[in-house]
Parts: sequence; structure tokens; C-alpha cells
Amino acid sequence: MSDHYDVVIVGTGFASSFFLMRYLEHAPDACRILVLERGNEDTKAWQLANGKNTSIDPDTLIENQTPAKEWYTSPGFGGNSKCWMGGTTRMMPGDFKLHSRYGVGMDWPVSYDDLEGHYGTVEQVMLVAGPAVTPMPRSRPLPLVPHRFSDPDVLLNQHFPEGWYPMSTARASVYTGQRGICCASGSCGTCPVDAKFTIQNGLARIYQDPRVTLRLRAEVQTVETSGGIATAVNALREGREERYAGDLIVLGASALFNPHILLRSGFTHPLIGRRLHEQMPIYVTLDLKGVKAYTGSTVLSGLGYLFYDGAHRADHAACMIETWSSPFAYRPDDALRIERGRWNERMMLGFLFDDLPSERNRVTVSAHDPSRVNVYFDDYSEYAKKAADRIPQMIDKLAEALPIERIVGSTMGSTAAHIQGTVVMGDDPATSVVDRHLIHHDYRNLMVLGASAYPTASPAYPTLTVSALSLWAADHIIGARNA
Amino acid sequence: MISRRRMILGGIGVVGVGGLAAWGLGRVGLKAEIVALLKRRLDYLKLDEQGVHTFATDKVDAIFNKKIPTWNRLRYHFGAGIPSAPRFQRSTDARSRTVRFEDAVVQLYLLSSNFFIDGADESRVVKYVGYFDPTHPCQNPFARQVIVAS
Repeated sequence: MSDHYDVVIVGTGFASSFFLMRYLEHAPDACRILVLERGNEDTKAWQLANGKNTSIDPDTLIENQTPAKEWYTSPGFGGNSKCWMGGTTRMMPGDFKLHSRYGVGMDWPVSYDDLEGHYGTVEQVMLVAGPAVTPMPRSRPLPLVPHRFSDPDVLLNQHFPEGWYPMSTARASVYTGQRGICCASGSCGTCPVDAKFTIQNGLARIYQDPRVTLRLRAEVQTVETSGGIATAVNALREGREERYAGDLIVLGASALFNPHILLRSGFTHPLIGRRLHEQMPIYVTLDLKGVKAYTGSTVLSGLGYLFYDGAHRADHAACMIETWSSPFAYRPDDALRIERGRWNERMMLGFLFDDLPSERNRVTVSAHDPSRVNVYFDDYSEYAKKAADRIPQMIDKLAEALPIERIVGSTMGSTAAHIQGTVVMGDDPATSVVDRHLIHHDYRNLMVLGASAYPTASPAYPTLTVSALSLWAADHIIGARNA
Repeated sequence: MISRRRMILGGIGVVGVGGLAAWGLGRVGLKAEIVALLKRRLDYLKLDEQGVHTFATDKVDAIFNKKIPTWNRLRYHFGAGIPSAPRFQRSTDARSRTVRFEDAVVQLYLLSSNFFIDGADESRVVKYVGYFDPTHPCQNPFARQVIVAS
């Protein structure tokens, strides 16, 4: 079976959906857009009834060679918007210029200014809650009032007014008409009150557009090319091999599956699948004297930028700190302080360090089963580890604001749940796979969206940038088409 | 003379009955241990006796049958309790395994009770409300909501 479309999009997560949203705003009535999604619809009701956010076990799709390092993905309509926690920080301007400012890593081929307007649009669509003043410049205020600080956040904010902020998040702080108010349940993967933005509760409308055809349960296997252009994608759908031809092919299947599809298709750039990375997460539990924690109105209530941007980035990684206001689901044995009357005089902080990508960390096609992604992660960079070694000094600094009694313990997380960097973007085809508009350097009608394009990590949560990049890329392709 | 077949079947039977007995005793013993540790660690609180036993039963069921704690699958970021992962899940927590277990049980019991909901008032009887499940709405007893001026 073969069918022809103007655009064929692979995936229904953030990257694909924000691209489609913008593309539809300018597409003619006769435009035919096909969207292929590997998983099922898995509605919110289904998720709550089944206690999970996908009907496909992600472990059946991934061969993880380093099981201690976990990689989270949620196949199905809406992609990882189902399992994310709703963190929507922007990257800092310096994150885009890591090499030129600090002499390490790579510069991004786009700047903060390129994305600033798109950041604002995504924040409006997601109805992001957050403060009026943020550490990075912005041309538009966030649409929802900020969540309430926890008591430790209040002290940190009072002492470091330019270093500690309320969380910027797509977990609603007030009723939005479609989403409930986040009440810090702490189980964001299957949010019981549907407070966080998802594609299902926020952008499902674009898939009901008459120009769009959505095919679920379509496992895209390869992209076909001929004469220097991408011509079609081949998919396995309900046991049948299907071929979908398109004038524009758009991969938005995540940093695990974008390179997997390209590699299965025979694309040979040496960086495809390489530079797999995410932030290095370390969680520290502190006992406080007389200050009650977990009192914020959302699971993560505060953000610390004290150790983020600055000259230190020439030597060691930037760090963003997050305050956990509801760790009970994740820390079943030490969230509370088991001392009479001092139950919540304990707080948990997450320290997220940007990792410098290494080509040793990679995604390949499984030799045993080509339909599965083979993932290998050797280690974080010395750059990130060197910064993590400074956590005691960072806590000393925080102690200027907080009555810290003792450090209870620290744990390195098995994942930050932010998979990035496997189809890197750049201006030079020798050192990147796609260009600054996420178009393949050699196949100019093939786009590869999402965090797979990230040249470096940044400590910021990646989703807002993923979505803004999709708007940026869509604007470019629309402009090119109109020209 | 006992046939070889009977001997094997008899052996399997003895092992099976022994295993079942050990399993049953293990459950009973664990339940008693949970009840005792709650009373010991929370001896300054008025605990509802029946509720403590019901909680202990539910906790044992959770350990043996894995019926209740669907939220354990929520390990998500932290990998707490995952035995593998020495490099990526390092912890500096110095507590012994016993203390960790006890702390976890006390934490779970208090979160499953009316204690925090009623303001951690030590003068009131602590009652078991239901096995703590953060996949249910608004399970953080300390959280305070945003107040928007009208």
C-alpha cells in the first residue's frame, strides 16, 4: 500500500505537535498531512485505570546495555507529554554559547534571541505558571500566577532574591478550564488531577483538523530516499508493511527513536546516534532546624540559579537546583524525618548539572532485533562530575539562608528523564547532522525535530526549548515554501 | 519397602508443606514485627490498635503480593530500592538496612493515617485511613494551595 501526502510527521509528542500546530496555521485547505504514531491513544481515563501512562512497555523497545542508567519514554498519542513532570524552564542565553563564552562544548547554531518569541508562544499554549521576574530576559509575562513557595523556598528567596525563583511549570496553579490545579500529589507520570499540560489535554484539537490524518499503531521503520531527497517512510502497522510518500518528511520520535530510524534507513553520518546525553541529577536530603518543608503548592516549588551561569562554566558544569515539595512517591523511606514533632523539618533538593556530550554514549540498532533501540551509556563527563564534587560548598552557601542541621544523604538519580543529543544540529555538515532549522544537511526535505538536535545539555528542563525549536523550524519551512 | 517414586513425591510434599509453613510464618512474623515497631517508635502517640493491625496486614500484603503498592512502580527518577546500579544510583545514606526499613514503615503508616491531616496533634488518636497511594489526588498533607485575590 502506498499513499502520498504533502507532509508526513512521525510522532505525536511535543516536537511533532508544536511543529504541526504552527504548520497548520499557514497550510492551505487542500494540504494533506499524515501523522504516524507508534503507540495507542491511551486516554487519561485509561492511564488512571491502569496506573501507567502507556500501553506499550518501553522496555520492549529498548535494549539498555547499562541498565543502571535508565531512559524514560512513553510511547503513544502525546508521547512524552504523558510522562513528563511539567518543568518548563527556558535555557539561559549563555547555554547557547558554551564554547564561545567559556571555551567548552559546542555553541548552538541558534541563539536565545532567535527562540525568545517562540518560548513565549509555547508558554501561552501550555499555560505556564511562574514568576513575573525570571533569570532570563522575556518579552511576555507567564500566563498563570506562580505556585506557592515552600517555607525553605521563602527563606532562600529572601536571602538570594536574584538566585531563587518560583518554579516555571506547566502544572496549573489555577483552574484553566481544562486542567485541574496541581496539589502536589507528586505522581506526575499519571497526574491524578490532570494538572499538567499534555498534548492530550492541550493540543488534541490539531489532530482533529480535516487536513490531518492520524494513524496510530504505526511503527515507522525507515525513511526512503532517492536522488538526494527523502521520498517516503515505511511503517509496520497492525502486521502490514505500509509505505507513505511525502513531499516533506518530519521525524519527531524522540532522541532515542529519531537516530534509530535514520540508522535503520542506512543514513551514515558518523554522529547519528552519538552524543547521547542528559543532565546529571543528584538529590540531596537535608535536615533543617525549625523550618517546615514540603509546604509548596506543587511537586517542585523552587528553582535555584545561584550556581548556573558564570565564569565557572569554563571549568565545571552549570547547576540548577530544584526544591522537592512532594517527594513521598519517590522517597518512600526517607522523605519524612522520623523524629517527634519534626516530621517535615527535612527538605530534598535536586541538583541538575549539564553534561558535556561524549561520542561514547550512543544509540544504535539492536543486532538481535532491529526494531529495538540499543542504548549504551559509558559515563558522565568529568566536567559534570567536577561540578557535582562541589555540592558541599553549594550547601554551605545555601546555609547562609537556611538553618541546615545536617546533610542526611545524597543519591545520584538513575535518570533525569531528558534524553538528548543523538542527531545533533549545527552549521557545519562535518560536525552536525541537521542544520539550524533542523533540516538534514544532505536531504533538504527531511527534518529531525526534538531534543535529539541538542548540541549540549544545559541544566534547564528541555521541553520548552524542544517546543520552541519546533515553532522556529516550522516558521522557516513555511517561509521557504511561500518564497 | 517404599518405592523410589513415593520417596520423591513424599520429599516434594515435605518441602512444599515446609515452604508453605515458612511463607505463612514469615507473613505472620513480619506483621507482628511491623505492629511492634510502630508501637515502639511511636510510643508517644495514641495509636488505634485495630488500625495498626490493619495497616500491618496491608503492608505485608504489599510486600508479598505486590497488590497494593502500584506507586512503587513510580520510582521514576530515583531508583530508590533498586539493587543494581552501583554507579548511577550511589547513595551516601548511612542508615542500616534495619533502620531504613523501620523509617519506611513509620513514614508509610503516618502518611496512611489521619495524623498529618489533623495537624500532627499528639493528643488525638491516630487512625489508619487507608494505605498511602500518591497516585490518588492531593496526597501531600503539608502542601498549601495558591490563593488568588479576587
